[in-house]
Amino acid sequence: MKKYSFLCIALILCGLMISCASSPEKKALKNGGKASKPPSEEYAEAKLLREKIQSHNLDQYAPEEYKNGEKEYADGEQYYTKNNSKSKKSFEEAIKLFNAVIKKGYPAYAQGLKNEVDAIKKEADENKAPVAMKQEYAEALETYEKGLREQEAGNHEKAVSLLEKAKSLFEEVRKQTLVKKQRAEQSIERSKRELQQVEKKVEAAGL
Amino acid sequence: MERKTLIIITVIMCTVLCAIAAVGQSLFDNPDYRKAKELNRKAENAYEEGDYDSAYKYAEQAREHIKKADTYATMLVQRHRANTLMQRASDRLDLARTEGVENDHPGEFSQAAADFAIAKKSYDAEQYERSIDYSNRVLNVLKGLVSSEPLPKYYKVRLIPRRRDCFWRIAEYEFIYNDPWKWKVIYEANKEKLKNPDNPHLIFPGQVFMIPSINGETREGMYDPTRTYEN
Repeated sequence: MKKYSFLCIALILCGLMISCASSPEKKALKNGGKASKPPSEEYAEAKLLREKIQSHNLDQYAPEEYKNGEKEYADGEQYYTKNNSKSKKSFEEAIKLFNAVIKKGYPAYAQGLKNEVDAIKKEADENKAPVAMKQEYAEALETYEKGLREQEAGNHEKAVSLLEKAKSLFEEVRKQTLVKKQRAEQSIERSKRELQQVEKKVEAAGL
Repeated sequence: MERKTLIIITVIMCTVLCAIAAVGQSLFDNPDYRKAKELNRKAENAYEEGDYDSAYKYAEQAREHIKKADTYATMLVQRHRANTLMQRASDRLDLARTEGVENDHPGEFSQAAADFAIAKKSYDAEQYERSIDYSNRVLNVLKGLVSSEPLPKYYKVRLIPRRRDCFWRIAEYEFIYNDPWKWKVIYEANKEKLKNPDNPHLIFPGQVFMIPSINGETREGMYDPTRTYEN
């Protein structure tokens, strides 16, 4: 009986040893230090930062950092699930570089955006949009001023979002003002011409 | 004394009011014309301020008044034309009487007289188109029965030492319009012939001007000072 018990314990231990030897961690260690699970969080963050850069073309303000960041990102994708540790490291590096691009790019982009809004606003002002489109102009101006305040406070990302909105609002105000201006111009011109025709009719009769 | 002064003042005021009413029959006194002018000014001011919606609204309102002013202007022109033609028809009838047409051609004469009566009645009823039509009938019936020359279509500017020809004086001739205020009609019709089209004062002897027919009157040939024209 004792002999059987010893044999059973020995078998269980062997079974445990076999099961531990084939665990993923041990496998990963055997395959050159691969992480146990894919770096999905790092991948998602890097992806998000990359999209942010691309959507505003921020790469132009830090081309070197962006180029290296792209390389790391590509590596991260290449090793994803194949060598998760390497993939994670690459994504972490990409995040660092993309953040550097964003840090340099956003202020410059916000300034460029402000200049664009200023140009549109100037044209709208010249066409007397504050009178022609009073409410819409006030809304655009409020958004623009909020954007400027965020820019001054160093919240460039928020500033960009507000300035982009202000740009679109001012652009609409500018367009609509021109439409209204043209409509008024044409109507005044028609009215004057018709009045002249009446005057000429009487004049031609010598009256 | 005070009562006398009051009466005099009342009479003067009535005279002035009557005069205004009589003279006031021009386009420039027409309420729609004046309103249209005022609205056009408002439209321009609103436009200058950038209030384009109001500018458009005023201009469109002005156009509504212009339509009415145009109807009034058409009526003025028609009435003036009817009046002038009726006057001419009346003169031709008088001339026909003087020249014995009444006896020589009694049928034509009574027809002309009847047409003239209709022309006059239509004029009084403000049916100016009809009045013009019947005045023309009078002139057509009497054509050839009384001595006449059609009015001249062209006028050559003359060198008259004491009365220098200008558009004003040309329009004043009986055979032209018999009304100096109509000088602009001749000027507008001949603008391109002038050395400086913007200066109506600069005309020269020998220049030939076309005289537009403004009341349906027949005009032919160059003015000849030796001829007698119907007026």
